[in-house]
Amino acid sequence: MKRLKIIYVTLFIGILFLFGVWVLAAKNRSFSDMENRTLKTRQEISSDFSGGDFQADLELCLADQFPLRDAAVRLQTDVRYWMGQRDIGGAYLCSGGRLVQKITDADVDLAHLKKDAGRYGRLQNTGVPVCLIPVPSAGAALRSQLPDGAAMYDLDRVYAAISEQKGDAALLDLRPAMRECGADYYRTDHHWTTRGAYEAYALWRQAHGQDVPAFEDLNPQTATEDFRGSLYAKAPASCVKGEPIVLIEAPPRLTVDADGQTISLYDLDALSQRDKYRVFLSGNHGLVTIENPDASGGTLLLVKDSFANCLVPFLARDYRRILLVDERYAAVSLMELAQSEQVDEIAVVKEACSF
Amino acid sequence: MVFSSAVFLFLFLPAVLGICLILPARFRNCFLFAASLLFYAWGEPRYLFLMLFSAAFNYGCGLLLERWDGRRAERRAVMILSAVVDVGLLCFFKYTDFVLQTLNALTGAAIPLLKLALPIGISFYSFQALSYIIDVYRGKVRAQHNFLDFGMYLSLFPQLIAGPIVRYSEIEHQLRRRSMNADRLTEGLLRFTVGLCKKVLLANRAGAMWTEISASAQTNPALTAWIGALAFTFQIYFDFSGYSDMAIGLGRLFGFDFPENFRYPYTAVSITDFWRRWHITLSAWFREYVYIPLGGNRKGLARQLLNLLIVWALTGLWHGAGTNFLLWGLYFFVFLALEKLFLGRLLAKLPKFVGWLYTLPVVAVSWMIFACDTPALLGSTFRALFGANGFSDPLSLYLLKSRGALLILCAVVASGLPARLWQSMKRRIGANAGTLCEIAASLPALALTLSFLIGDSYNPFLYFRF
Repeated sequence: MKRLKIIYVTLFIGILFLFGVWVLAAKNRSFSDMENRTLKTRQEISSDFSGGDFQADLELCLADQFPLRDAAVRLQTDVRYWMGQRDIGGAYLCSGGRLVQKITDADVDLAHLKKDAGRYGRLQNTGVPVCLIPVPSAGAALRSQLPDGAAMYDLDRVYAAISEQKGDAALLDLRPAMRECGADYYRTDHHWTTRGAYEAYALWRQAHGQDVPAFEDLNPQTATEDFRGSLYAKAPASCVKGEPIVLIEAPPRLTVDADGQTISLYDLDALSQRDKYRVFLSGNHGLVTIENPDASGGTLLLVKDSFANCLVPFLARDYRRILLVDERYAAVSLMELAQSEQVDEIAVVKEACSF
Repeated sequence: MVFSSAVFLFLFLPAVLGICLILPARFRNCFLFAASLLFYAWGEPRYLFLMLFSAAFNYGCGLLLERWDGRRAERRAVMILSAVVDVGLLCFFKYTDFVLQTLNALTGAAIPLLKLALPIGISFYSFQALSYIIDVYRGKVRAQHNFLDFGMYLSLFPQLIAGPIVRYSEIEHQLRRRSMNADRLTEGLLRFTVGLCKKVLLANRAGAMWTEISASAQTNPALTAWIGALAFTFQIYFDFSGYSDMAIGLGRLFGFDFPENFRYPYTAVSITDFWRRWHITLSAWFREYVYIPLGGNRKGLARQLLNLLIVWALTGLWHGAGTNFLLWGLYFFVFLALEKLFLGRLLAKLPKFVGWLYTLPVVAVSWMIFACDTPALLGSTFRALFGANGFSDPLSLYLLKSRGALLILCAVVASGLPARLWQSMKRRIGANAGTLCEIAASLPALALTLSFLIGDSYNPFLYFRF
């Protein structure tokens, strides 16, 4: 018995110490693919002991560089799930292994939203037709799939606020279309899928009095089967599996310029990296110009957030020129841009809760 | 540094324990003193001098008390001086801003606040220093001649930051004579693991729940508010008793026997009973050094009630410099006084179950006074508890469903039932087989705890105000 106790004590202390020494000796990871964030490395530890930075950095580094970190994160997520917890790291775990971002009414800044909706509505004063397209968040569209009683913001209230402020601009109501099926949203990411964007595109075509091509006629191809998106990074539960990203065929003679750099509509390199949603336009940029000489439409100014990235391939079929403006990355006057670029139409595509 | 941190678990503890085991016994105290100072300096390097001053000052006063044996006036002066300095330092760091704030609020003055960070553990080690000085003065213990031994006692890292409050008389002999062997090391590690599990798996989870619920205190319906109260009730118990378990376990690793600090307080059948089970070393300290010197219950009922009032006002303020802590102490005074007057006799006649049904809600409500440190939060929390925002909403049911298992687990562990069952099982299968099972169970428990520690950033430290 005494020998067993000695072995136990030695192992206990030895293994703990080994973890500590491992972090201080082995090669440090600077990024966690699973959690989609940078990790604190040994080299970044501050030397300021008296101010306390050294202590805080060392603590972070030990936790971040823990050799079994990914397994630990997954295990604690699973245990919380088994214990019945259905909201982990800001995501709801719904049945069927679906993750949905938790956005409560308190997270929605209604005053700010109204101000912006009014600002977009006034673009109509330039004489160019404006269409506002608030994209319902997954949780607001798939309310019935959320755990019973789970808090989620009131989409109708947001739509009402935008509608009240929009002035003469048009409002494309995606609510009925997006409430119908779960295939419109990723199970591991907060974005809508290519299929979801297609629903919006179909409504957009209908609103313009144009016929709607069938989804299958746009040559959808599965680009990857193993997409694990932003929500998976927050709650990597074992019951949540990877899923496909589908891309429709890109117009052949398309050119894409992002903040002065030539990029492509689909960045296939992103498919081998963590954030595979970046396959659309290589992520977010301030100002992107897309030209399709084969299209019949004129110039579209699209004010957007990342939700619009997978809608763009559809619109690129129809417009000769699309200007994408992401106001988080570009400080431009939309009014001036609309005039100087002789824009024919303006659309605003953003997630409803932060429209 | 806190016990549930990666630095402590992966570097400090293994290194200090390993070195201690290799060192010859005569160097261990010196090494433990140095390690404790590093532990202390980790959180607040600037206050290292304060700890050294406290150690040197109380050490010196102890020697003076011994040298002036028989000279009553001088001894009394030394005792009072050291009490004034120890309590003075504690008050200066802990209460100056509170007093200034109160003054500013009452008089409309605008005296600038000092905004000092509270030296970690000052409330604990000041009380330990006082216990030493008073006991030497009373002739209960002999003065310590070895500065390193005394410094180690005062700063000993296992109980430095969150107790238990170890009186000098309880540990005097262990300073010189104690052993580190396989039995004690095993016991210590097992006990430490229990504490770590309580802190990380139960307290932190319940705490995250309370944080979430208290954020919407203004709109919570009664059911949500009571779930929140229950969550905090569990958080503070598992956090604090978890720390005590870890401290006792760590003490055992290094050969010390620290006093127990919690005895399943939520099974108490009266408030008097609760305080015999909750933070036992603090209540014992106040009884020994405040209540009894004031006359205790020997000078009539009126005087006893006054003594209780003083002790409970002090106990409240000891937990933090804030009106809510004072209120919290006085709240308990009311129930303790009622129990002394008639309630205690009444409860004794009734089934224990009734006593428990009265005690637990009283305690849970007390924690709401404890947890709400602004009048606004206190107000909205109590309005919510008593139904100002309705009885329940879909979210309360969601909380019950989503966190119910956690609350039930907490309740089962807090009832002490699993521990009792295991003890009786252990008697049946024998101590060796019992230890074997405990070791086997502790390893997956440790792995799970580390997963939560590493994978979840929510790991609060509750005693920064103590």
